[in-house]
Amino acid sequence: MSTLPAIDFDTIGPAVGAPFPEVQLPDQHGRVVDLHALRAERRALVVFHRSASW
Amino acid sequence: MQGHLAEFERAGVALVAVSYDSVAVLREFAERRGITYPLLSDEGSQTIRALGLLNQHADEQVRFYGVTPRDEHQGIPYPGIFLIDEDGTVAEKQFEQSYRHRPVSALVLDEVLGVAEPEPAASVRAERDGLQVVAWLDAPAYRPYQKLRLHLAFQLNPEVHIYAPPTPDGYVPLTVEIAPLEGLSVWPLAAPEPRPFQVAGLDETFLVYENGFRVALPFSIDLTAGPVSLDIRVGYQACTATECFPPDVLTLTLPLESEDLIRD
Repeated sequence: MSTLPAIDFDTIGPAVGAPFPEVQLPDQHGRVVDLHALRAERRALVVFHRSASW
Repeated sequence: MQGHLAEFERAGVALVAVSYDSVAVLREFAERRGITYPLLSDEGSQTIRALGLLNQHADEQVRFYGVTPRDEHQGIPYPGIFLIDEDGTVAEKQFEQSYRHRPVSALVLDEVLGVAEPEPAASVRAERDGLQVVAWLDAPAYRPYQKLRLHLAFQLNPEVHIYAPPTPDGYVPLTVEIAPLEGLSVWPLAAPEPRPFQVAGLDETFLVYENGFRVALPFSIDLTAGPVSLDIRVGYQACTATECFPPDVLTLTLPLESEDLIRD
């Protein structure tokens, strides 16, 4: 039986302790959101997910 | 996530989601599901790529599930979350090995934010050998590929302990299992650090749990199978300082309803 590839996520994406890069993207209303401006010195939980449509 | 938005707000945490969907797809999705937090559109996956989060194993993962890769499988990120601190640095990150799995928000709240989870809505209880167990689930219903947790709260009589792995030969550690179901995936049991325990006259050091403690078993059901019944087996051996009960198994049963995927 085949298996899923094992992925080492420590090496993928921004590392723990590193600055999270600037992100500016439009939201569901078409307004451009600046992630760090949005969180306004609060903590933020950023969820990366596959499509909302499948 | 939307259902827990107030808890994120109380915890002082802004919630944002990112996918490759167009603004139009996200608008429709947000309206249909009543989502008020920002759903960010990274159409073309430029940001996902720039962050190094492009799922480079997508084809392999899709084929693993017996599905032929399609265009829509390209450009997806590895599924996961970042918790960003007040100063803008990454405090924590958690990713799933497969594009199909998504963490349920109660799990995110508890593991990432350290926010106390609400009281269980429905629970079952079992009791024997100076040991009480209460079991409940994160949610009353599952969606395919969504990670849920089975929670078990143990309360042991003051003189009683049970063993944690690894145990010397002849002793049985605590195990928690869900009886096999089609589509069931189970992750390792999350349990507190056990306490070292010396028995007078024996050289061996045991690891034990005492008093009250909780464990959680993450699982998902990776198909739409309608309502299911989770048969839970808790294996253990209870001992006091002077005697041991024979190894035993407590069984509990929890019903779990089914919710459809966002799109079938």
